[in-house]
Amino acid sequence: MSSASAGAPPLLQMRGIHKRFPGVHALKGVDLEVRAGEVHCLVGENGAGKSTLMKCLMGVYRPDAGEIVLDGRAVHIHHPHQALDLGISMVFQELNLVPHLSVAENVFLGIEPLLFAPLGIVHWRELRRRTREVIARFGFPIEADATVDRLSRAQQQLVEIVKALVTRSTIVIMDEPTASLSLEETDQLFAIIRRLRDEGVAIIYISHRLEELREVGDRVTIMRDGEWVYTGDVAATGLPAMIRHMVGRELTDMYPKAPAPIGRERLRVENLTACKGRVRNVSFSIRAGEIVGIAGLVGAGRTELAEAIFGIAPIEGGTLTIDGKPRRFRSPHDAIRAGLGLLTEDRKRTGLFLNQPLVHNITIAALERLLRAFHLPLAAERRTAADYVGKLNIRTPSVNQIAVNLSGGNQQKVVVAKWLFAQSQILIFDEPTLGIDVGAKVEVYRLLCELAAQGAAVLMISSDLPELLAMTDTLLTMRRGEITATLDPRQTNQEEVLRYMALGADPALDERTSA
Amino acid sequence: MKRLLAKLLPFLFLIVLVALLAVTTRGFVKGENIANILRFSSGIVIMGVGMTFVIVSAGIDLSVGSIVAFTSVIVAWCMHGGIPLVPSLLIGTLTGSLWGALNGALIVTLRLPPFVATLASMGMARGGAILLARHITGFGTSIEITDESFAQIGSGTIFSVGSVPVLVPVVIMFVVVALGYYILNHTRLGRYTFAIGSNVEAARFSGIGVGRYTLLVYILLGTLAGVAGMIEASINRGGHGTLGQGYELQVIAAVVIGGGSLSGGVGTILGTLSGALIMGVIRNGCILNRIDYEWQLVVISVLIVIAVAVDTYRRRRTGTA
Repeated sequence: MSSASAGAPPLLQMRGIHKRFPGVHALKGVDLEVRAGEVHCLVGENGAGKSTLMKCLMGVYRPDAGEIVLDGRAVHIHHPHQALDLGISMVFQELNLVPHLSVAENVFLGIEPLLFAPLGIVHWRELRRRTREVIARFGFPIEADATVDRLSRAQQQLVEIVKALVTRSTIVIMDEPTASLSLEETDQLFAIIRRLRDEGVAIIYISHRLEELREVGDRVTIMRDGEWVYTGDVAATGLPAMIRHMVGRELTDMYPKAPAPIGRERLRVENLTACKGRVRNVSFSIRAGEIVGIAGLVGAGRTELAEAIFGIAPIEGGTLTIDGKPRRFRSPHDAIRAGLGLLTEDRKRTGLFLNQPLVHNITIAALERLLRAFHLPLAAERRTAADYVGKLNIRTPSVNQIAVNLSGGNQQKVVVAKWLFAQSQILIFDEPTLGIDVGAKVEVYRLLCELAAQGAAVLMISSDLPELLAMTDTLLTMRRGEITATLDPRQTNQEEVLRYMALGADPALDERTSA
Repeated sequence: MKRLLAKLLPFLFLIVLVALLAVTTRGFVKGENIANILRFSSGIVIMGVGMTFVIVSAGIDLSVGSIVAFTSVIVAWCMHGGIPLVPSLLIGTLTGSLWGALNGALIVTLRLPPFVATLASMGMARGGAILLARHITGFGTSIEITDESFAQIGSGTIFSVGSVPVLVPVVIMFVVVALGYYILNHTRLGRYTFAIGSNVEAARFSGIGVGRYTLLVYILLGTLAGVAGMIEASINRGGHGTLGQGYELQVIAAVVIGGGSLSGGVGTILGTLSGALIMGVIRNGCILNRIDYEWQLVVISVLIVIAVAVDTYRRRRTGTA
């Protein structure tokens, strides 16, 4: 371990942490050592135990064995409040803010400074003053008195960070903080993280986007199946080694792109305008066997485009042609019957029925395939679902498992199975690899290629440029609702794609930026 | 296995309760007593089947008690007007369907929250029932039915199992339970009901006509409230504007005690049947032991708290809260 040479004593040591849940040994003697003033990345596939470890640190779970040493002192953390008192705070992936309250009120929620303690009278002036102080110190682009629901996702993320800062936390845990941020916002966040680090704060950074680690991380700890596998300097480790440690084997080909025979045109979009102008004049087409990608910043109108095609967002102009016939869908129901499938960006909100069994999740979009008159044969349904579980390698004890109990990657495969069962031939995949681990990503890529090989037309929307460049046959860039370029992914590069995403197709702008 | 046990919990509790009363209370296991418990629970069970669908779809319906009153007045009116028995019953029952359709339409087209929509129709149906009865009779809120064949609906014996007489409403109840079980578990309507209650957005994205099926679910419950209205009218020998007051809460309680979750996506017909019978048995046990009516209220309320606490605990553990 390279850390042994760096003299400073660690700020936090977690040693031999064990945690068992009924039927699962979630943590098997995990070690984690974090120093003051470092960004310590914590990575591993879904289900590796990262979140469980952090919940033990935050006092949400109590470890069955092992010790936590903070600043040389053994501590027992029984409650998140206690963790806060010890200077540990967490910025959650799903933001925990009260939308109708102000920034300052959210920052001090539950820890309000009191003017007269016995009656619980809040010292509002002090509360605002301290919030403003932190905002000013870091130059955050937010106002202490603004109402939270008027802020962007990125600004809301900052409110969470301010929360950590007013309590003078010495350890800040960030769980996938960039998941919903645009590239620009991500850069801003990284600058803030570096600033915190330089002030001596230790940051535990959890992310699936491994490329980010090189940019922001100092050291990395890798977990697999509830065990500690590796700790080392990010720079010295390198991506391939990280992936090898995470999945426990060499991933020879991260992007298994296989060329598929291109057939007739399946989907044609012409001059499509929709969603109150958030999609404007969009034209493109997809042929059988083809994967067309769409790159764009958050808010570029990519999801709106998908929803307009799928009959959810209202179409205001232009035409949609499916297999040579002009169509306009009034509902997803019509779209699905015409052979479309939409794997949504937010699988928990719009993709899955979390408290329903896996089998119901798989068959729901095409029950009529199973129905005998009005009778739904449950045994046949379970067999069908079991088929897909096998085909897509979904890891689950049974098809009756409730969807919420599956890991992110397996949940995503369940949604894919839903559209496979619906026999969708024109598939729109909106951020298909968001929040799923490396191993599952490769499986999703392989699946995409198989679908294309079987004659499906695929539209792939993604914020992951390397994956778009590697997996698509044609790459479109979107900016402010418009297509700014149609590129051949084999003849372009990330820089060019980024330029079209951020600045559009105006050649004058091109010159200015390249000059 | 564990999940199955959790599902059977209300049923097991019912068995234990019955065994307990059989041992401790004289007269409990008498055939007539058992028949009475079933007969007086039949209305709640029948509506409970419909309410299970509504609650599984993450909805609620407060109007069922008032619909019982309204349909009882309608059937009495029909009988008075000389319409034969069967068409009268059909008209009465379908009036219930219409109220259900109104609830569904308010929820689907005006996007009212189910609580508000059905609170409104609860008042309208109750007021309407009393006004109609007064209009027809010129005074009072009741219309008597003297027809003997009509009285059979609520009290007629079809056959006996040992010393237990099997009454018409009990047969109707078990038919409704069987049909409800089949529809909820073995048809598209049932599956879509779960999907809508579990995640309405995902349901829409999966191509489910959410509005249409929501409407259907409320029509189903309205129809069953109409059926219960016919039975109640028969037991009470006429249409009464004040019939069925507080039934809505008993029906909701039956579903909740039976393991149904007001957050949607969870609920079983067997659970609801057990929930309704648990309340019926407790009521009967209290009467036989000469325990004040108020104690029933306390005991049943405690049961509701326990049932919801169990549901909440389960959801927190599985992370679907």
